[in-house]
Amino acid sequence: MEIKSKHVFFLFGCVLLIAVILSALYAFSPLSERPHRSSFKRRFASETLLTERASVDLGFNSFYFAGLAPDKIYLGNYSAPLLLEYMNTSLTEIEQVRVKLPELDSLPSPARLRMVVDSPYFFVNHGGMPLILRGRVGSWEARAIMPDSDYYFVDAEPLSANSLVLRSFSTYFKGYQLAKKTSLQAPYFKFNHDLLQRQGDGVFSVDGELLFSKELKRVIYIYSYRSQYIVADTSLNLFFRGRTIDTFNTANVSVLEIPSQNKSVLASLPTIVNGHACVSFKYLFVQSNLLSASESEERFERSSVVDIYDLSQGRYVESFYIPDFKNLKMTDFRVVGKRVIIMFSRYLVVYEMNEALPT
Amino acid sequence: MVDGANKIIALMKKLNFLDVIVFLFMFLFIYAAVSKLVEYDLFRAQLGKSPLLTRYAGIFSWVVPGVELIVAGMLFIPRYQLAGLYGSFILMLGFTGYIAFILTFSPYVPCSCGGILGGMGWTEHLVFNGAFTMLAIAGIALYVRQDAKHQVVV
Repeated sequence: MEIKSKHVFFLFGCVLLIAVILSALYAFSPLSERPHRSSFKRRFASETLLTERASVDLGFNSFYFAGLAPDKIYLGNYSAPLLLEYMNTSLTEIEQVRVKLPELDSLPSPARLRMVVDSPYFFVNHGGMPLILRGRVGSWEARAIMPDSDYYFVDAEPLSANSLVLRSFSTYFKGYQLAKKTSLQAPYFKFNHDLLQRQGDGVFSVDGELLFSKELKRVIYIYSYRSQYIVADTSLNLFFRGRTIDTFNTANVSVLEIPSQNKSVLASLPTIVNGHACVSFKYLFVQSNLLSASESEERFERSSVVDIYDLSQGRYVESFYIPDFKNLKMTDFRVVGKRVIIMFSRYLVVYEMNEALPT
Repeated sequence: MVDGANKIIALMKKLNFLDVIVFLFMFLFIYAAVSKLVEYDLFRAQLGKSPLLTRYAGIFSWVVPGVELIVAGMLFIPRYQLAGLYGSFILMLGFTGYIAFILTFSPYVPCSCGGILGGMGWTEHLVFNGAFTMLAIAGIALYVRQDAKHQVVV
């Protein structure tokens, strides 16, 4: 009896030991730290205060923005790759359509398929097959359009009915690069190796988001881990390199090469400076993860902050907050005129700014 | 057929359940430690991405497989078997607690298991670890009971 209770006592001792170790790890981990306050300043103006106009529960958190048209929001779905859902901006009429791909009899890694709606066309892209298909909105049937399409890519952004800008991984340069692909005249393919400037490794230090401003006819690339964006014309000639307001000039990533698996991985937690981004007219909207010098820490923790840049002049305009919705952080967003369309995991919410930004 | 079944039952009776537990733990820890050390760089990088361990990735990347091997060694030597079982319990509880912690508190879920253990989902992993934690307790209980019997005999 005595031996038994001695061992029960020991076991509880072990449980206590583990609890103490885990709590200590937590206490000294970045999880329990307050956000680091940077030295740059933000300007918050009243015209970009948001008012909620409509919201809808999409039922799943696997949706992504496929495109916008006047009074139309198109959503794709990672889990149901051929399903396209669209709705008006009051979110009252929601419809679904199943895209037809008659030339295709199988779809490997379906989650890599992306749909982009750019009325009157829509594109179905799959960088791993690789696949670039185009169809008409309404008929919802897409077919191959590119003369030679054996070039793998990571992202694709349509520039026009017949051309796209691609981000791809070059095995020769061991890094990402941008290229333009067109179906009209040779060369069907044009690289620009110099647009993305690496800082050390060619993947993580240049990782970012590829955007296209239809109104300005400019390709925009914003780095995720450092305070820079690139503006180029539709032939991928550099227009200018812009700076975001924060001070992360160098990507804070440590990368490890694994020769046995022929890949490189991140070896520590990176600082993601710029989260999601989108363009609307001449403005670039960037969700920033950094707390500025004078803003309220409490407010920052309960919202996502978006910085606005004027792409025609390359300057910072102002910032606004996207408050958390049902305790969920914003997962992606788009801006059309006065409207800000925001995804919070499975919820889609439409907000309106007090005033439209000057055009 | 009946003969074969009887043979298996006889073998089960002869087989000491404690030995099975000890063998399972030795196998598990040696496998886990070796699969971590074989791809040490990758293991270290994965620990570096864990929000809980990122600052101590260098230490933990040696301590974890090291302790796993020491515990396996202790289980092999009869004198240290009880200590080895306690070591197994602490390790399994530590892993289970760590997973539960990551699933609850971390904004994202990094992965740092080698070999086929890496193929398991986090919830499966939690169940697997929970089962092995129970097995360690069972091992300690069996050891203590056998030990008491031996003492009576002596």
